[in-house]
Amino acid sequence: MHAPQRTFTPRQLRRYDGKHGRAAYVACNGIVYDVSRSYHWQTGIHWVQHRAGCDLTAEMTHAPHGSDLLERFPRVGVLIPKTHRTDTARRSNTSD
Amino acid sequence: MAKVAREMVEKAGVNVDQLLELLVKNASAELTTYYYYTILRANLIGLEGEGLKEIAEAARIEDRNHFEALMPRIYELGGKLPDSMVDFHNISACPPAKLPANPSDIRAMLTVLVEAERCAVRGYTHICNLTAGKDHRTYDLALAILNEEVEHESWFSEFLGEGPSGHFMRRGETSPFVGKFLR
Ligand code: HEM
Ligand code: HEM
Ligand SMILES: [Fe+2]
Ligand SMILES: [Fe+2]
Repeated sequence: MHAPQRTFTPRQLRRYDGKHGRAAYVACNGIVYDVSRSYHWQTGIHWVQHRAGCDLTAEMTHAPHGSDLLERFPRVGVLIPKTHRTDTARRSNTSD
Repeated sequence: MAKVAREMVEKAGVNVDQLLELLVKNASAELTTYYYYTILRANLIGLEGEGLKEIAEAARIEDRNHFEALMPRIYELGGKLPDSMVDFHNISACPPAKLPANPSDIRAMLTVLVEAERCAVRGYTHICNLTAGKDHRTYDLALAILNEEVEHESWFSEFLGEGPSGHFMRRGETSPFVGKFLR
């Protein structure tokens, strides 16, 4: 709202897969959340099927819970709709 | 492994390896909950705690029954429990129902209990969804467990001031739904 929003392309989001000590980020309805500290997202895997580093908006429809559970976790940015071509131009804000 | 039993589930289009992973993780959630509830129940003392002790005990025994009922289905489908109980503990589908720092804080105790049950209700609903109309036996088992988890949630939620749940505490034998899988 105040500071400029950090943006992620789908490819940039992929880096935050929760593996090997990397942070676990998931996107839902255009927002990127940091679920690293969740018991339910250890090693970036959620209930066998789901992987951190992905946009899981569609998967949420089949979940036995709503997207409100994501609000327990920090919002770290917004997901920009997929654009293969402009990915490299946006690399500058992947630093962490 | 019960070869044809597994083949039927595969043919119906269920990813059996994924299903087995879910069943093992939920079996772990049951047995670990049985353990953690033992400690919770022991600490439900005094004027407020005593009223919950009996209910926590019924939920504890039924969760152990859920573990017992899941185990045969895991092996029938060609799965197995981990060799190490430490590994088994650590893959639980739901977080440990740990004793709160202040066990005389009855609200904190209830929150741990109700959250464990809610995780279970969501988990078995998911397993029912995955198996409905496809893997009849796992569905029947997951539904039986779900029926008991919904009652567990109801018992504890009433104490949190969430209104009446319509349920009475367990009377007679434990596991009225899962019992048929335990014989
Ligand atoms: C088949 C799909 C899914 C299943 C079976 C599933 C299952 C669960 C269960 C059982 C819980 C525990 C809830 C509780 O304790 O009451 C949970 C929590 C959660 N789930 Fe899912 N989920 C699914 C899909 C998703 C998706 C697609 C997302 C993200 C986009 C997601 C994000 C979360 C979050 C953030 C939590 C809260 C974790 C915490 O509080 O530590 N889930 N899920
Ligand atoms: C071995 C597995 C995988 C391989 C080999 C693979 C390969 C690729 C390739 C070659 C691209 C195109 C890269 C480019 O345009 O420069 C891509 C894009 C992408 N992949 Fe994967 N991928 C894999 C798994 C996954 C998984 C599991 C996910 C989801 C969690 C995923 C999500 C994406 C996304 C979101 C993009 C960008 C798509 C777009 O912007 O349209 N990938 N992947
Ligand atoms: Fe249970
Ligand atoms: Fe339970």
